Amino acid sequence: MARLDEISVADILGEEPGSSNDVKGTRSFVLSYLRQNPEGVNVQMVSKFANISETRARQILGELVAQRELFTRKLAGMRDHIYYPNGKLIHKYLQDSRDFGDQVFRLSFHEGRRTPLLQIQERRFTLMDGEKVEGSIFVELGYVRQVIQFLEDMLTKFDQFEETKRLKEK
Amino acid sequence: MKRTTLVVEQQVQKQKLGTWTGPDLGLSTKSGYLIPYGKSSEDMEVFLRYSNVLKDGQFVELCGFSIYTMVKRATALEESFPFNDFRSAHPVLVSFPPDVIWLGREKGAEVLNDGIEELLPPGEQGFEPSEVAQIAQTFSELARSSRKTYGFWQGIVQQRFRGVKYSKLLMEYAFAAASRVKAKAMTGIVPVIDPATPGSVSMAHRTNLAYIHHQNDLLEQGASLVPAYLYTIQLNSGMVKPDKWTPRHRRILQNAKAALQLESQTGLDGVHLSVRGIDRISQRRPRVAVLLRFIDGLREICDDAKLPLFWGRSSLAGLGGLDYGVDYASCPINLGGGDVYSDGGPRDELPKFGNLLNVHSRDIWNRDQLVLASEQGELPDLGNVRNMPTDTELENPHDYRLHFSKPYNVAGIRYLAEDWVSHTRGGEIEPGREYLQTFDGFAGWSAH
Repeated sequence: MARLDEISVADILGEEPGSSNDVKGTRSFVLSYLRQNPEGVNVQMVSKFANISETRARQILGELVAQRELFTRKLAGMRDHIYYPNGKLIHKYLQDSRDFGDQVFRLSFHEGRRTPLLQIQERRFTLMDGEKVEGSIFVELGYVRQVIQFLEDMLTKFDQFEETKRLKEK
Repeated sequence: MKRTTLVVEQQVQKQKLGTWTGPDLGLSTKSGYLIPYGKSSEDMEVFLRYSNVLKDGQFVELCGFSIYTMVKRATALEESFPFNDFRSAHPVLVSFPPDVIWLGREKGAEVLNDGIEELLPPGEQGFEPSEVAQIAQTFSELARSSRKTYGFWQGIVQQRFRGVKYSKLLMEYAFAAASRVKAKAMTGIVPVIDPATPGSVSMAHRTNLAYIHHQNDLLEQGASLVPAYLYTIQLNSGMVKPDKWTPRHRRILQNAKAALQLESQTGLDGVHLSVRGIDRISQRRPRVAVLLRFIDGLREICDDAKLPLFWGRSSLAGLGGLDYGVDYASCPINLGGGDVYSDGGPRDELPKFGNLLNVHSRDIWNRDQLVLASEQGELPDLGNVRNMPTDTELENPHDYRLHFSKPYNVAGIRYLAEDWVSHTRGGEIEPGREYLQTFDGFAGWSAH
């Protein structure tokens, strides 16, 4: 066994610190693979690449689709679905999340095909499961302010509705 | 760029009052405070049921190895006492006491096994639940077989499971435990430092650096729920010998300083100290003198970095630590300063009722002492909590602890915390040591 003072940080991490072959979870591993293959991959390719069963590969791909990290298409003449990556995060600082009661919203800017995209991801925290992704939407950067205006318009509409309801009750 | 900053608002010699803030973490908490420490699911139930006794906005420290059982209890109570309400009002710090791995006792090995089985996320690593069970068993076997040695630490850097180092898996587990309760801050699971093994100093330091790298990676990947990491120093009681200041103490301080001065210190937000055997140390001034010198060294390092110094499971001795610049000291709500997990509970009936803090008479009472004293008068009224047990509680140890002594102790810890703050605001020097000098068992903290 190694002497205690001979054990390095890299020994503890099982890697060279900061190296690109970082030991990540299978899900991150699959996501990196998809991002390196923007032309799309199928379940068999993922299963072979990550050395996991096809069932497990399909499960992970399904989860990543639910999280809007990937999208999927069924091409004519092909038996299986093809999975494609959604845009990757532009910069780590362009990502932030805030809690609103049980709901957590993570906002992040991603590279899009034509224009950057704002991803709004809804997460939920429960004691049993910790924090889980519920789903997400993408808004093209050019429309973000208009969507904010749309939200405000809807809030005004709701307030007016409540006000009218109160007046009727009186 | 670090994620948090400690702003000192008032200083009286070494003692400080301030605010620890971190907008990314949603953190803004007053510092210079004695906080409660919970080690079990029963303690979690006390916090949830009697959260009105805790100071709003103030930290609670939880034992990381018990998170899995605390979560179960909190889930059972969720409808009446929502955990989300609790954690919104009280930021959580998760720490991992050293006795689980150092002593390798049966109880400690069990909680290590069960905690890993419950919390190590199989989805993230791609492990099947049966594989996680295998991993958990390996950890607990390593702990059992390397009592009071460093075999556990040598084993986990040597062995891999499907290509992943066990040392890395242990880090994943620590983060999973802290994330499960949405902790704002956490310590690592690091080797305790023992004078008989000089290599433990560098091993503890490198384990901390590994956590910082891991933390940076998580932040880099945009992971959510990444708590502030506290550089973790765990001392065996043999490191605090009477009037014995050694090069090893200096080395530990140098290491902590180097870590806090790392250029890329995104993943490091303070220092957390814990000392085994604080009850015995507190009885002797020459031992307390060494501990205070060490705390003073850490204070200087933390002050320079504008980051907080925590002293975990300090018991009431934490009040003396606050005098020397500790920003948060925690006191277990059963008032014990010893190891967290022991094999088997007490066989006699009386110890099952636990301890009760009388802040005015500066004493810790068992149930019989309370009954005797109550003939002369009541315990001090600390607000928000009953100061006398019911007849049923006097007959039932579980009810007594859950509904009377532990909530009352939480109120007592808050009372002492606020009293210390108030004296410091008034410019009084070393009010903690002043209080402790006439407290039975803390004679070593006497300033004179």
